[in-house]
Amino acid sequence: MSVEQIDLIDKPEELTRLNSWLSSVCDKYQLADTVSYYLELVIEEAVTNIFKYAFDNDKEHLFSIIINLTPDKIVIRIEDNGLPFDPLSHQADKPESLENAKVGGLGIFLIKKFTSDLKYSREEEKNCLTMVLDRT
Amino acid sequence: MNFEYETIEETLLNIKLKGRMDLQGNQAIELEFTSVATSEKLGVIVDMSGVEFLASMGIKTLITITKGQLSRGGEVVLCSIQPLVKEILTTTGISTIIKNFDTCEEAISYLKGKSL
Repeated sequence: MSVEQIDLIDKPEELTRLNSWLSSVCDKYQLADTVSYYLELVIEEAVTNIFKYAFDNDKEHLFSIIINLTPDKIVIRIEDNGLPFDPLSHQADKPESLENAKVGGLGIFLIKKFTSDLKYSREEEKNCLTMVLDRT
Repeated sequence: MNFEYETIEETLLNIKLKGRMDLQGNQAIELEFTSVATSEKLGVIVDMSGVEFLASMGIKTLITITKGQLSRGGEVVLCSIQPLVKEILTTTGISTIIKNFDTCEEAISYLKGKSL
């Protein structure tokens, strides 16, 4: 098993650093294009929720992304010390028409679609989201 | 994320997006892109060939401009979508509610036929 970790601050410019780090992880472990896309997507959606909902003041806040890789699976754990927020309790259904298309919750919808396992817990004042992707 | 746009066939607006339609990319262009897409021509083609990554924040903007155009009697169509981006649009059902074409030529033909 291999482990990669990045610690980030919830500032918009950190997203560039996150994307560079993710790109280097995908290259290092020679992940297939589809797996790379799904990995970037589920992390993007989880991080978007942190930026939007986790904190309610203008101070800087830390959050961490830990990726465990085995030959078959990628386990992603994201921890932040923001307000209690269970992203799994917010979900949109697929829009049936343009009129009722809502974007809120689509991020969780995508995370659920592309992960084989998904858990949220609140541990020691931290939100902990664990997502599992299949590598095959 | 950035975009360019030009009038084509006299009545259509062709917008070419380039980059990642994620939280950061969307923040960079959302206001201007939305304004351009919903205030000029009634027929808008969004060339997605340069979009290498699409996430929910990018989908939000596509929905916004499509609804905006619809409210003024216009339409937005997408074209030349990369396969993995297309998968996201299909998975979320967006590909059935925003018209999309394999090529931009087909998109242009469609909108010209609508006489918006």
